[in-house]
Amino acid sequence: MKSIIEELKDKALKELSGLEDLKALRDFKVRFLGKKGEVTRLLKSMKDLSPEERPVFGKLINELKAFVEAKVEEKEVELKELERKRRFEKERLDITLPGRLPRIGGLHPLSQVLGEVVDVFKAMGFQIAEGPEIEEDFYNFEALNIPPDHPARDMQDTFYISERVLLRTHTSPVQVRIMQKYPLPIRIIAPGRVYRRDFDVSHTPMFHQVEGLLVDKKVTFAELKGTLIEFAKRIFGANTEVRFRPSFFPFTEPSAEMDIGCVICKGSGCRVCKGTGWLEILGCGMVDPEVFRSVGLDPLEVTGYAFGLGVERITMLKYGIDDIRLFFENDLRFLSQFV
Amino acid sequence: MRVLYSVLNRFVNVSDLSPEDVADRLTMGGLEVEGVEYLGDSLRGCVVALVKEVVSHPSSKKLKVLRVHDGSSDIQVVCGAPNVREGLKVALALPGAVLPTGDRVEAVEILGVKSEGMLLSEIELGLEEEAGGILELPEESVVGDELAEYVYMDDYVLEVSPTPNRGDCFGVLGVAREVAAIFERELVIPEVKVNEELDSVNEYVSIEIEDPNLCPRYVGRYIEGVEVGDSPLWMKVAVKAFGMRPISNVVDVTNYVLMEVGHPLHAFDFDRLKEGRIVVRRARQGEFIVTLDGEYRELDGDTLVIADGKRPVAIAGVMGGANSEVTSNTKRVLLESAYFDPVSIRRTSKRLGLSTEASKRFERGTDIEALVYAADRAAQLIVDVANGKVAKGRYDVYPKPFEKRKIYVSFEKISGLLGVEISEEEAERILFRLGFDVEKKEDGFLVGTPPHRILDVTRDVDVVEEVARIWGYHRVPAVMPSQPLPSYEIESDYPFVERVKSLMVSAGLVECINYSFIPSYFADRLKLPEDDERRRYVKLINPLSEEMSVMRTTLLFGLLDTASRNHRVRAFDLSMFEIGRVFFLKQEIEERLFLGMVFTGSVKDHWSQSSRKYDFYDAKGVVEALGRFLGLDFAFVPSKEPFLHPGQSADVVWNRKVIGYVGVLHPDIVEDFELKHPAVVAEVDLEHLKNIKRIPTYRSIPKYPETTRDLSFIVPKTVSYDQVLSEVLRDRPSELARVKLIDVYKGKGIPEDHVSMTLSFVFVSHERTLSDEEVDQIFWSIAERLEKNLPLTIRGKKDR
Repeated sequence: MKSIIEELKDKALKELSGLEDLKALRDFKVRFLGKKGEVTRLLKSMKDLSPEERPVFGKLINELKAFVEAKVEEKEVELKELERKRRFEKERLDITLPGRLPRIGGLHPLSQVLGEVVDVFKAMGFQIAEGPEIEEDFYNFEALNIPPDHPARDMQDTFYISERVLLRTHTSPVQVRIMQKYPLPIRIIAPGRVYRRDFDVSHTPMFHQVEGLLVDKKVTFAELKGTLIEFAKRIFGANTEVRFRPSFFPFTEPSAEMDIGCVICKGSGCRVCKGTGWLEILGCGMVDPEVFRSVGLDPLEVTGYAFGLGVERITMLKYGIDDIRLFFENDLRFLSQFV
Repeated sequence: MRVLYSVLNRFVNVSDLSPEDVADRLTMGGLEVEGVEYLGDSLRGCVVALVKEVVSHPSSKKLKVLRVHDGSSDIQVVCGAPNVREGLKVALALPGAVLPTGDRVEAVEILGVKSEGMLLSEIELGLEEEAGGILELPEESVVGDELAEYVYMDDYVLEVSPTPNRGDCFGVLGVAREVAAIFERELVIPEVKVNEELDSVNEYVSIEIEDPNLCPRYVGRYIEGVEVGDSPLWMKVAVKAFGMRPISNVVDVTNYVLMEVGHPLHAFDFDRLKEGRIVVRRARQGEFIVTLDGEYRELDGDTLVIADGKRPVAIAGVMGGANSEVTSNTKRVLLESAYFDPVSIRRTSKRLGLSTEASKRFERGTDIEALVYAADRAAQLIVDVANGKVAKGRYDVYPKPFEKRKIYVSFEKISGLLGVEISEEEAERILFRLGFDVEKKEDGFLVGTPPHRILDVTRDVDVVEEVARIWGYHRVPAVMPSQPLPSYEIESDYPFVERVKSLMVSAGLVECINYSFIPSYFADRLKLPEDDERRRYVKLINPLSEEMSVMRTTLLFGLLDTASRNHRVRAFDLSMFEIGRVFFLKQEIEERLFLGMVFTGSVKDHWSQSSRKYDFYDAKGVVEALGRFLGLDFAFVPSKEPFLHPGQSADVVWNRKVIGYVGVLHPDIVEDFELKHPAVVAEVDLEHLKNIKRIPTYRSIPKYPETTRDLSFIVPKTVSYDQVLSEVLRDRPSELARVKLIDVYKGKGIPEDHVSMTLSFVFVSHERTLSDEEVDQIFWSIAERLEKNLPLTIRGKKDR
């Protein structure tokens, strides 16, 4: 009898080790531990034993049963793990295939850069103001101290609609409209399309400007410098070199142009900066007394500063774009580089 | 304006400064220098050489074979110049030298004889087209030295670009004044002593100004016995370096002085002036002149002319006339140095389309006092280089002598505007060096503006700029604005535009920016009817081209152009949008904010799915998304837009107004724009929508579960989804939370001209959980109402 138990144990172990899936394990369980299983049969066969032998063998058989059950449990864990592995293997993907991209479009590079510029000035408390693109001579020129026959009109070749109506050549007329309408203090930027009669690698007849204006009592050139240096550092990086060069605009006095250290060659001189190491970024200055007079403000009481920058120029410098016309050809091979 | 460094050095000592440093500091003082050029660069590889031996060329009578010494060795050169001789010091270009003309010198064989260099004449220096022979260098020239120094080209040119207000810097003298102020050096104006050998000028000439407003001063110098011919080498080189062409000694003198002093001069052939007199007057009706450029020009009463006793001999301040031009036969010269009204010159120059070195300066304002100096300097130079004899004195008509403008500028103004204190002494010194009179008062300066700045410096702020720019903008500190923020809010489209743009981008569209001007024929190409509002466009008077001649009244043209351009480079699959203004000509010009979009080609999908073409519903979906984004319900009704497919187009309606369209582009237009694929387009007038503020209304989320029921039915094509939906929503039971169309099917199993639709209904109550029976009852009451009021057949009804 003892040897039968040992035999059965060996058999069970042998069979168990050969099992490869959970179904076979279930079959094995029925065959061994089930109601008609071998262990049950062995228990039943105990009736032929002597009463003295019975408890001894009964214990042995129960031990056998517990042993097999434990082994089955072990095997079950093992096989479950194995089946998982098999399933995962079967479900393995080529993870290098492209993912399902959501269809997302993109902003035009000019919108992106304009957005950055606007954000910088908004953070400094500037409000956004807009004005018409088709403007009156008064707002575009005369109120800005550019009378007829002034040489400065040559600086901006103009598209005309009629003798007194034109496509604005800068967003500066918004200055005038805002000063006419709102009380001091004024702190605005005016982004928008502007037009000049010029068309080559570095000029398009339409482009974008952001005009800035701060008017109150006791505004200084030092504050103009502070504002614009902050702007340059936020747009071109904290280490950007900045310089202010005296210049001329009819609507500011004193006037200046702001240059930044060349972003391409870092100041050593290249084609983009024409070897100077500097790039012209914007024009600025203290609002000319004539401009105040034209909107009914007293230049003895009021001072202010103004600046104007070209969005195309800044975008070209930021990304190293060498032909301004690309912005308006809307070639997807160009636009998609900025998505 | 090209500034010759040696000429600059005549007025202010810059010999110890590098031209680059001078250029940098001028730029930082407000006079931009665009470049510095060394003239000697064009003579690299050219040296002084000595002709040691001249023998005849074996096979040419004209040519000679020379042995020349270049300082280190003897080389053989073939030369045909008549003036070549032994012992002559010559200009030798060695192989590899690139001459001012751009030609490269190589070792060559000339008729079998080797020539290892080239002897130069004025032709190779770029000064003349013809020359009598090679350059003869002075005896004391040192053999082997670089040539530049011996031909006045060891010199620099600063390329200066003055701002429009700085007419005074269109002459070296003016630039020198800037240098003097910046480097704190003395400005030296070398005295001119004219050797006057003749009687008083009044004996020879008479000058009269008829219109002193347009010509406040006219100075004449009379010179006779001039020998018109070539200028000396130094002057030719200088004139060329200034960017002009050497012409003759007399003309070169006027040009040289123009660049040197900055004041334009004109030389008349006195013998060709009728009655020997000058009248400055407006042109008379019917008068004309042939100018020095050979053009015939009709004159009018707005044009100021210089006339002789009979006719105009020059357009004042712009260009001389051919009838009084100095020629090689000229013996007597009348030299003009005058001041003309800037606005008048500018108008004349614009009207004639003629901009000259003279007009450029007069229209920016010249120095009414310095013109005397210019006249004297030129007269003496003509004596020096053309052997003239000058009459005593100047004929000076100057009815109202110049007075300095007095401007008071307070110290408080200077520091208040700049935000920094500048010492009174420093400010005074700067103004003085710039030529201003400075009188110190208790709280400021009384400043006298000199004639060369009279148009530009008129107010205290102008004086502040003068001080600040020389003192140095870099010395002004940078501080953040200290002013309070405005207490009001300015309205603008910008935030709305930004939000719509980001919606478009998340809907998969790429932004494009098209020009605001389009061709006038756009309306015909889009087949717009005669009375269409979009035909009332704004026209440009002076467009760049017909293609850019009117302001757009629709974004569609630009978008189609963009699609077409992309199709040409085989980019067929695109979905793009633009937001921008369009312009209508009404009682006034009206600018309206529009949104436009275009879709062509296939939807770029995943490799796991088959691709499909963009269709009507793609565009409609984006427009619907815009509505949802703004919290608005747009309606879509059949459209009559002539450029759209009549069966696949809709007008977008909101608030009982048509605010746009969406549709498949008409095949004719597709063809016309050379699109390689059909296109779907849409356009919305955002002007109606931009001021809508959407405030979402909150309702509590139901606590009870939702129940869903689907309803499929077959309906004739003549019944629209909209009709079905409005029937569903009529007498809407409160338990009906949502209805959604989940399937539309036609084809197999569905009768011809019919479609099958499936609607999914969602029911919920805010009070309790609905039982299946309750839901069924509501659901079927809707279904039965549909069946009763519309010609539709419910499918799968037997399931009930």
